[in-house]
Amino acid sequence: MDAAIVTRLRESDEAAFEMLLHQYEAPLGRYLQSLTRSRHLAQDLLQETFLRAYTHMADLRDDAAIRPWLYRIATNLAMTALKRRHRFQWLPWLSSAEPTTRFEDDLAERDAVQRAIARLPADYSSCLLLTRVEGLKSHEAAAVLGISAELVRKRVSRALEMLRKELGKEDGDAL
Amino acid sequence: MHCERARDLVMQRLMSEIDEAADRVLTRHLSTCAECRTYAMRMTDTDRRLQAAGVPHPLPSVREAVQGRLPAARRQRAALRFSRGLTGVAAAACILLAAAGIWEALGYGLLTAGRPSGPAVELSASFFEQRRPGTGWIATAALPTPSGTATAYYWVEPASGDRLNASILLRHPDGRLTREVQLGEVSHGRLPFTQPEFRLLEIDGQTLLAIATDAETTGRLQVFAYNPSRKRLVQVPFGSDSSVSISTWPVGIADGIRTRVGGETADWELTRRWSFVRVSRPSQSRPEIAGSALAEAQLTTPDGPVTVRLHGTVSEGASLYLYWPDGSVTHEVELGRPNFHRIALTAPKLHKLQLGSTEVLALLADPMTGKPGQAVLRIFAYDPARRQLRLVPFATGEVLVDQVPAADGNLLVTVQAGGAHRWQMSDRWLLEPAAK
Repeated sequence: MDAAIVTRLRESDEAAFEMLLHQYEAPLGRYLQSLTRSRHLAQDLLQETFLRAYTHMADLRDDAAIRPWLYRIATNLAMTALKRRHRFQWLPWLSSAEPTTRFEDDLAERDAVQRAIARLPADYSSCLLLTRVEGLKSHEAAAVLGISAELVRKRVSRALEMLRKELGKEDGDAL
Repeated sequence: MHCERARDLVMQRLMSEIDEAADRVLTRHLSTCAECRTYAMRMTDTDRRLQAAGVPHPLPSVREAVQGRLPAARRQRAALRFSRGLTGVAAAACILLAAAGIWEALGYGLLTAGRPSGPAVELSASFFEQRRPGTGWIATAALPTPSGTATAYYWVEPASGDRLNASILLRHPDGRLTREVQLGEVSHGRLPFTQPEFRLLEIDGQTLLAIATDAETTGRLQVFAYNPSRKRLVQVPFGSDSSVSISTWPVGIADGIRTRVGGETADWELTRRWSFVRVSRPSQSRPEIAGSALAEAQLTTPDGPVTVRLHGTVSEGASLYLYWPDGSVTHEVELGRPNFHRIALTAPKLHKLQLGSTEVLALLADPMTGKPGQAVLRIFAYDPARRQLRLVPFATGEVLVDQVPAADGNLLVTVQAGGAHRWQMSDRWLLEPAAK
């Protein structure tokens, strides 16, 4: 499926690009949002990811490897953007009301996890998100990040340890 | 088996990548090694919590925005293909030339003046393709409307000198492109100030388009809504003001938002007439003050005499505080971390001047131009309507001076190589050239 899309894209078939957008918009958007902790930065980076993919399609060596290739573009863009942090520290858009229902508890938990991920160094959060949220195998994540599969697993392990500590702080704050 | 190898296998098991033989070996090791067993449990528990937390809300679709930028990408792709036949520097130059149109407009973003005004202007369908060099959008947002999703663009194009005109363009669900709002001028080539940013605010069932821009000493928040009957963007004002100062993005309250600037908060409720009304007064509690006082001055305000003090540290940046006679202290203006050195290293003073009936304070800062004798002039005054100290900007943008200004009812400023200029305070809270 991916290889067929890439073949058509190389032939400047823009319907194929539409298919690529359709297939990867949601997962890449989710990944960028988790990595950057900013919906709007993630939206901008998502656009850039697709436009870079469109303009640099000729650089893709293995037509079947478009998924890790897209994640690599997204990761590189996010890493660059994260180095240029804004002067202001924007607060997340959250309700100030105390959570009272199970649904709100779930939202609070989700937000706590997202905040904790955002506090991890990007080298670690990218490994964690790619493998444990986006479902890439460690060798695929390794191809995205340009490191070995073993190092990916080490970073995931370290990221889980750090996440545990951060969540411990979050739980403490909630008391 | 070494514990280090066992821990790698734990991760392989967690990722469902372990083969059967290795899985059996790992099971045996865990049955005998308490430390690795604890490690495996920690990993599994944290991972379970990560999985259970789910994923962020999906982003609004960027498909339309990407499609809108494809013509430029198509040209860039063509240039890239062409450049593959070239070598080294020549190839890079080709790519840069093609990319320049898109990126030229990035890196700018200091909104200093302007209010949305005038009717929406219809733009041609090929507006994006035919745009001039140096123009482009630097933020975008998908805005839901009753007839589909509209896309808003923060658009900049060259104005005079080093300034750019900013506006909001809207791609309507029916494909029309309009210039909805003129935001005013943006200056560029400055320190890395914040980029303008769009965000969607969900308040009381309404989706509002919020724009935050750097207003130098604080951020400035403007909010717009899509009016379905007029099929255009309308401004959602804050009381009688089109914008409100912020130092962080607002957080939600029951029917509105809470804005913060420095240590001050203000709660705003969204009315049915699409405006925000303030529902509480700012806290007068004593803020945490960073650093010792670098300068101070007395000011007479309609709320009584007050001492203005400039405090700051390298890590916290510089801020202006008001010390009230009742002992309370309010954090008024955040000058920001990048500005701390510009102010602190030049033995800062707050010079009091009388402009008409208004007392103002002049603060000089190093413009970082490397030229001795030059200073950036900032004027602050107490705004009785907002009951806070505010920056009074110059209508023409930044003013470099070579000596402390004087006053004779107007502000007298001597400008490097440009003679003396007189400025008057307008009711738009601006310093405008005084009539001769």
